[in-house]
Amino acid sequence: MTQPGRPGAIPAWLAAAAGFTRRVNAVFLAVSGGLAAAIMLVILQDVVRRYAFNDPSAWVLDICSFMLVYLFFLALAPALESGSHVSVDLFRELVPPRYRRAVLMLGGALTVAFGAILWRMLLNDTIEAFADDNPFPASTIPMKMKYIWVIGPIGVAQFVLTALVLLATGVRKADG
Amino acid sequence: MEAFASFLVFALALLAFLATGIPVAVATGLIGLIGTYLFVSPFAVAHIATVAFSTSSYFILTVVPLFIMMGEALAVTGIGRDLFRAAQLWLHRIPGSLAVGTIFACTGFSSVCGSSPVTSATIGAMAVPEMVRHGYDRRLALGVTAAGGTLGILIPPSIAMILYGVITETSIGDLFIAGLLPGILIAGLLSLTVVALVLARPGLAPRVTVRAPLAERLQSLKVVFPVLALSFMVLGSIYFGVATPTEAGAVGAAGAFGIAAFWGKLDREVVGRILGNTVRTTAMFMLLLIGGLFSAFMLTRLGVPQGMAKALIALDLPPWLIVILINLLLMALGMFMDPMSVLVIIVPVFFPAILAMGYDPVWFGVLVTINIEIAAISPPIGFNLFVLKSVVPDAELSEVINGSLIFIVPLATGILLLILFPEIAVYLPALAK
Repeated sequence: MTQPGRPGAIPAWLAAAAGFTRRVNAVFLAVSGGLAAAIMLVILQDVVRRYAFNDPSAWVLDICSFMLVYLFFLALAPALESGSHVSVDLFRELVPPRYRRAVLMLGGALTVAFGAILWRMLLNDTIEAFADDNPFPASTIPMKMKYIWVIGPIGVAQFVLTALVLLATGVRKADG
Repeated sequence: MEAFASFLVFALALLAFLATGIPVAVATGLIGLIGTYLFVSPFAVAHIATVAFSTSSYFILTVVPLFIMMGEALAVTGIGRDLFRAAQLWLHRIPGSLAVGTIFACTGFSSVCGSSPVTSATIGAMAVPEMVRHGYDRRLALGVTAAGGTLGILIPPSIAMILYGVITETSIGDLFIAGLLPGILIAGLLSLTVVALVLARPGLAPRVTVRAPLAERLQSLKVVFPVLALSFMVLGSIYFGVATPTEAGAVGAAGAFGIAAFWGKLDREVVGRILGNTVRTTAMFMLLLIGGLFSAFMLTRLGVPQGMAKALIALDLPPWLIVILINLLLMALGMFMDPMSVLVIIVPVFFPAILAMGYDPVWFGVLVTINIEIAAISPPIGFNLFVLKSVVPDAELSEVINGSLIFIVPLATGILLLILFPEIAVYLPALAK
């Protein structure tokens, strides 16, 4: 980390925000990884029960779908943080050096804007799900939709926060 | 022509967004949002939440983390080294045996891994230094590994085929089965290319004399046997209709963990790395799918794919020529975009035209997959080129690019053969039914 007061220094508030984002992402990643393992085990037990005991589990499809929703939204921000979301660097390298900072800021701002719009739309649907209090459609498990959808706005909020931190630290580093 | 103009505007807007360095999924999602707001209805923007929730809760997509996990778990076992060693012992009489062995190792690893970069990284990290140590031309060593790695998305299981299957609502099981023969064909064509290159310029690959007794050669097979058995079990269960791709993926992932544990390669940190890589790649894949599906929603509401289909059919050209033109466009785009992005952007636009011309969607899926294999080794954005550059630290990107270019020829030949003889792809799925 750069020391405060020097060109490109990262201020304390930004360092704190970056640290917080990193810790939340680590927790999200661990939970998401656990869910991936759980999906494997749930399907595996169904395969064993189906072929060895002729006793398939009717709930496997639903529980795996629910876990996939959590897996995806929880891993969204850690994937952004680690640079796992594919992007095309070639065009950025063609930008003249004096405009690179502006392009970097524009790219960061666009990512934040996309995340914010997606968050808003997911939040609307989630609020609606809480108001309706309906069960998940065509599910064999008596699960309320609101408990599944609620992870959407949470995961995307963390995505937006991560994008903001990446933008701010990126700009600071570019200044340095 | 209005549809072509709309598509051109879409493509230019996409390029403008990509120039800022934002993730491709964000670029397609944003264009979908802006296009929907301006040209469909401001209220229709809310549809992105429906796409995000319905895609992420789509049961069939549970297959994605399972097959990624299988490849990631096997990558830590050192199976890449064992496959390469076995191929080296059995193929030593062939000119360029180490390079051909690399292709065989990639083929074997591809049957348990659905990702082209993971295949390139796993085999490349060990095969490239080994070939260079034996005096092979560096460009040949790097190029053959980059090209061999592309088999990861053609030989089932394949993440690219899952993506195609979800976008076009084509059976993923059929796509997996259909990829098998073309995968073997491409592996053969890549090997022939190596042999031809070495026969023409023997200096590229000095003959390596590995005198191993039969017992040692058989021993080398014993090491790779569990992985090949796992591959056969996964693919065989799908082919014979015993298991769905999701069930096969779960068994494959569990089997891969079992093999890694049996060989003493698993500890807490490694498990964490496998699971972390799995979910990060899954998130990337699914956000790409959501962005692509939402931009496809916008284009469909504007009638672009339908208009393109009508315009292409009205061109008064033979259907095969239209297919070749679509392939050329895919190849051109593949030079500037990553393989998965080409898939989510182009397939929804041209798929209606392919159906209208009476082509088999499974066959087109295999064709598209080979095209994005070419994209994976085409400069300047070929994914495998960068992967190899990162796993072989002293490699120059120019060496990787120069070495890979020649291997576009066998891949393009594979596409031509598939256009001339569609049975190569559709025979096995038809037989399975």
